[in-house]
Amino acid sequence: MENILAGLQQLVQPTVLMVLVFGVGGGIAIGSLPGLTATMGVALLLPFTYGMPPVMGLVLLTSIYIGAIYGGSISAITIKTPGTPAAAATILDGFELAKKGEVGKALSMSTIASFTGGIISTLMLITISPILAKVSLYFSAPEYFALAVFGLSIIAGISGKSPLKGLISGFLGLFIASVGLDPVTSYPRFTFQSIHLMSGFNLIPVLIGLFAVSEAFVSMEKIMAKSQVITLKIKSQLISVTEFLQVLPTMLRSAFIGTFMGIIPGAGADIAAFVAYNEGKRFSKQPEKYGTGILEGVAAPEAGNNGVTGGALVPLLTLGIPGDAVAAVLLGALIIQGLQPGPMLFHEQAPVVYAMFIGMILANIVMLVMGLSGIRLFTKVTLVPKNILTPIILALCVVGAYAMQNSIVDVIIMLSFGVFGYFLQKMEIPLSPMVLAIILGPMAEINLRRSLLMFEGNLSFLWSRPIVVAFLMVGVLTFISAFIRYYRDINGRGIERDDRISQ
Amino acid sequence: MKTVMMIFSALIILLAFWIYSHAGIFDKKTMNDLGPALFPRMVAMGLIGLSLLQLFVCYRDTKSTYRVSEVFDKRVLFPLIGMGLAVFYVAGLMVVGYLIATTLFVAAMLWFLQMRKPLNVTVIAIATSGIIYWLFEKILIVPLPRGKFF
Repeated sequence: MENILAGLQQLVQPTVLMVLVFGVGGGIAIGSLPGLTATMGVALLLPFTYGMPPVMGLVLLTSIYIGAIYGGSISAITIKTPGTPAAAATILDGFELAKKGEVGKALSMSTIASFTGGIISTLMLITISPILAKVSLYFSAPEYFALAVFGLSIIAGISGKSPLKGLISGFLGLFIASVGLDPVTSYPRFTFQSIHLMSGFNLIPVLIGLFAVSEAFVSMEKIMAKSQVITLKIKSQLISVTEFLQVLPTMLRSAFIGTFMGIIPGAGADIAAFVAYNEGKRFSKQPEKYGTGILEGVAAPEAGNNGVTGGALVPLLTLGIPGDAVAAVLLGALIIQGLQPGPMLFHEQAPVVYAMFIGMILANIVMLVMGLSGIRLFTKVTLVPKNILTPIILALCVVGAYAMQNSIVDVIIMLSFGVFGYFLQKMEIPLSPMVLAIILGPMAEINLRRSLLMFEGNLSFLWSRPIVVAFLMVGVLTFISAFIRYYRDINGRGIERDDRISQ
Repeated sequence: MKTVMMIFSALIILLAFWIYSHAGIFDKKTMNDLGPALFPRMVAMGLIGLSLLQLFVCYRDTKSTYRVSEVFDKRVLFPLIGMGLAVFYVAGLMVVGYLIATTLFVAAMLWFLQMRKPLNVTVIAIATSGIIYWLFEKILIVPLPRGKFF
């Protein structure tokens, strides 16, 4: 109790609170701009913390983190461009809601879900972080491989009407992910002796190309076909109390999933969002509506990805092992401030640590307020006529693709994937499985091969380790249940053609 | 849809065969590691199996037709023109830099998308490129593409 009060005393200073509000606002802005990730935002502002007191510096960086993870959903919902990779799963239902004119509801749902995920993970961080940290110690290469396989099994669930087309899309994603230097032997694969392909395809340009640029090309077709400006009519702005209560179990479950995923080093917010989405669909009373534009489909990934914010700090603060890329940057911040992460941190620097925790709770509250009050402004984006919005989106996409590595090659890659994504959409081949496979493919391959090296070529790790068995069994069940649901739908109702693209 | 999907499946099978054969030259292995060719070959086999299954599904599908125009009709010309403009835009980025290339691209796209008021086109094009340039280059200090001449 003493430490909490001491932390509160350090936090409740006008300058620190100002920095917190600035951090959340800046984080939301950074997260909503395609190509600027949470990691980039935290890294960009890290040097500014050199001269700050420890509490102020850490509060600034964690506020940006929390704001940026949420901010990615704004552009994902309004213009189908994930501001951060963590928002890729939010597009599935968020953009569909926006197309129905319910962009305000989608944004308010995203804000509330992000707040829920952030608060729950922060509370878990505060109360039981030493216990949770032990979980991360049980994860080695076989467990990471099993986690990746479990994540890939979600492909069948997010494939929409055709799991078979989704699997083809997923396998194409696995091939795309294998381009570049082999992670174990560093042998160049499918690089055609080009140095630009040695590190493979950067995720951000691929994401922006597949989702945003391809959608821009689809929009051109619709704009020219109708020969008139297309604008949406906005229906309601906020979700109702009834809708909130209906979605609450999904948000809570997803928050715990996100926290758990954040604890595992290397499993970031993007993976957490897809896993939370899939689990939300599994437990939903109306799983067939996922992907058509429902609030649950926004709540699940948003609570999941913001749930990572607290979880990723668990192994960082208790063991000195960063839970994700942002936590790795925060590790640098801690060292700069003279704070040594590890078990002793909670004893030697307790007021600073608790000030940071309380700061995270406040940051989530500020994010909720900013997010809800900004909905009117954010929804105005969807009121801009499509023939004006489309070229602006393309101009922003170029910046987003270029910003990561200051390379024009990334812009070319973005455009290529945009063209590819357009033709896939015309053939009703879903893009999300491809993205998921690109994210998880390297994790699956590296850890499979590391496991084989650890076990001297023996596959016994697949059945001798309980966490591996659990993940693989759930993965197989997820896969099979998606196909059973698909065939039940075909036999029960018949396939309806999706005319959205051809209209 | 059937024709298009069948052609696509056939192309994927060809790609998969190429992946499988090309992976044969990745022969670097370490002890107890199955080498860099393992994963691409597994992916290639998966693609072949799935594409054959897709061909079978297309053959059995009674609800779609063989008409290519069901998927690609004359409206596809508009995105193709948009893609062409985008290619010129990327080329322009390398020559004249972000500010000029984006202004020209946005103006061209607005005109292509049926905005016919020159003043509106000019203002929107300049405002778009100017605001993005100011926000990223000056505020966020994120460099934008620079051309050979600007």
